[in-house]
Amino acid sequence: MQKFKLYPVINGTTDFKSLSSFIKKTVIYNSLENGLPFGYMDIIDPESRTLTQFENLQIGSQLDLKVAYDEGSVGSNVEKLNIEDWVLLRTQAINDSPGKDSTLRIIFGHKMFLYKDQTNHCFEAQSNDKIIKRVLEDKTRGCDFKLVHADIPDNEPIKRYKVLESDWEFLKNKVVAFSSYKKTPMYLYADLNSNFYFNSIATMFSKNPQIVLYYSPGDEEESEAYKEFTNVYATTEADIPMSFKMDIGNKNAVSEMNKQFIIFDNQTGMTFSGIKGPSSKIENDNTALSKYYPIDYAFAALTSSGSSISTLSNHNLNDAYNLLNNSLKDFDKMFTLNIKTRFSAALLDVGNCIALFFSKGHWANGKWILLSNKIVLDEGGNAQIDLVLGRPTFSGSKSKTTLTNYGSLFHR
Amino acid sequence: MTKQEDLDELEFNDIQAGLFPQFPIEGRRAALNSDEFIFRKAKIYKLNGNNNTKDDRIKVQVLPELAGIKEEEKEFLPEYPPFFAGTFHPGDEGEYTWVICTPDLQQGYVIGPSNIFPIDDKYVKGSSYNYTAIKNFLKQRQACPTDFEYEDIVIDKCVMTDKGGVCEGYNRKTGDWFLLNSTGAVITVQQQKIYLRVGSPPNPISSGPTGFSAITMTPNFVKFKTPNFQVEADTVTLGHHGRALFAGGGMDFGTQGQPFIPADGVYI
Repeated sequence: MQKFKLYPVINGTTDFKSLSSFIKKTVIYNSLENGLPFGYMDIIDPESRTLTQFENLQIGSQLDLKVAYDEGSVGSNVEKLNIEDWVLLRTQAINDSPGKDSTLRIIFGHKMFLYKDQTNHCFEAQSNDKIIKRVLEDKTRGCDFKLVHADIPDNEPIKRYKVLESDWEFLKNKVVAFSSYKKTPMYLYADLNSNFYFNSIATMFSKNPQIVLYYSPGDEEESEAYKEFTNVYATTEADIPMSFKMDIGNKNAVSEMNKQFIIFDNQTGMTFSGIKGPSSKIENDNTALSKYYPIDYAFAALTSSGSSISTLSNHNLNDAYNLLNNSLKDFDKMFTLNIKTRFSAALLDVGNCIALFFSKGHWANGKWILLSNKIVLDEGGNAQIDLVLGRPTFSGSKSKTTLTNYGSLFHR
Repeated sequence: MTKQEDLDELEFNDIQAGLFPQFPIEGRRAALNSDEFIFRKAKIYKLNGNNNTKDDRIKVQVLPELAGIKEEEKEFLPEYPPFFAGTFHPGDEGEYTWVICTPDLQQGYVIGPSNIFPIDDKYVKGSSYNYTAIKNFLKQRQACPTDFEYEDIVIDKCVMTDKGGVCEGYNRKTGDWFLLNSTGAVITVQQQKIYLRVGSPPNPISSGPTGFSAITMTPNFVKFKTPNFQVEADTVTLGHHGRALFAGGGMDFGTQGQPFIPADGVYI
């Protein structure tokens, strides 16, 4: 089993490598929902010498994470773990009881955490992906970010206003919330290398898996079976211990399966009411809207609302549709699989596909999306990874899915 | 083991929100996806209808939300139509108006020009509605009703600029209505009187030039006062006898015996 440690280099000069034996625990966490990766590191601080020694331990200091390992003890993947250009977000002393070595916890994360500029802005009418690109690549902030890939959202060009909020809050609240791609929710998230993506789960699911996780491959025939996945650059070790926990459904997913809505069209004065399923629609209906939504009934200029109904008025009609579509995010995560296993040191970024291989014919074989990952390195250099994999219910169909025998899970 | 050591999971929102507490603006921040309208003052940036279009929207800088917008971004300010259909309350660029809008500013309406909140007497005395001046204005023109008490007079609009002014109001008890123009023109509709007047001088009693015209109507009396009176009509009927009015033929009818010639179109 390979052992390694991560140590911080602060402002490119202050190197913690010599103290890596004092690093007790390192955690790196990222999730699709939060969108910004962060982590923390606990360093044993004998007689507070570490703290006084390093003057660069300040909020906003640049922080790189480097890998420390003994030659020959690890695979080639470990080198990819170097994370650059994060920032130090907080330092705190924990367990500082007298007579004992105190522990210093440093919390670090993506640079975007630091930028709380609340300057107001008006953005001209344009597609949501262009607004996101413009905000992320804005150099006046002092640092710009790269939007590597963006799906082109369904929305019509519309003016948006950044009001008393940071860039990140603006993007999440005013832009991403109104974004859907082919009527499926969209996510804005950064990978561990600080690059941003603005994708829908449908797009993520269409990509080739980046990694294969396989479990007790058994005979030769089965071990050949996982090779069908292309572009795989890392695999787990064979026959490693994994623990699984399967979740189907969460508190919001059930209500989202049949989400009631009322949309008030300000231009025509019409009110549309219906039930929006993940991809449900009524066939052979001559109401134009029913091409997109199952309209139960439409009536003029009257509204009613209930606690469980989404009432979407005072918004551009097109925006209201996209908001409704985007609000089905919990449905994406209804079907999840938690995996805890040893970490092979490949960088696993949220939004990527992972191929699972259990045994030949197993229902869970196939592609999954990485919804969140947590890397935990302990004192001895043992690495464990905690993955949450999701399989969106709308992706695929009964005839085109790995869940062949579980077609009823698909809402079509 | 301390409490912090138990913190295996770091809350994302804790880091995101609590790391660098900024100004206490939570109450001002746009609520996500809110449908509620909020009431705001806004600075007029542009009137869309100035381009000979039928666009009655006004481009506004909603305050305080859009304070500090860069000049080059002002073209993309929100454009709101009048709140009530069939009304339009413009203002000059830079003037303030009331708007209601959603917190994310995506939808809103212009209500009308906003008053300044007077924090000292200087403003109040300088530019608000002046009851005494209005009363004197009407009195000078003999158009002031007997019942014109301050507590009864409702002012609908009262505007005065360096180019002119107007005041429109009514008596909420008697129903008397009046419209005054700073040039001296007046229309009043009172219980027993309608008075119309245009021109100066303001005081007809003075010995100055009689450069004004006025019509006073009461139930049994109509009075025209004007330097020149001209009627352009095919027929003019002055009474109800149905007889034609005759005029002389231009010669002395006593010596020449010329008959009267009927004045076409004038009947008595």
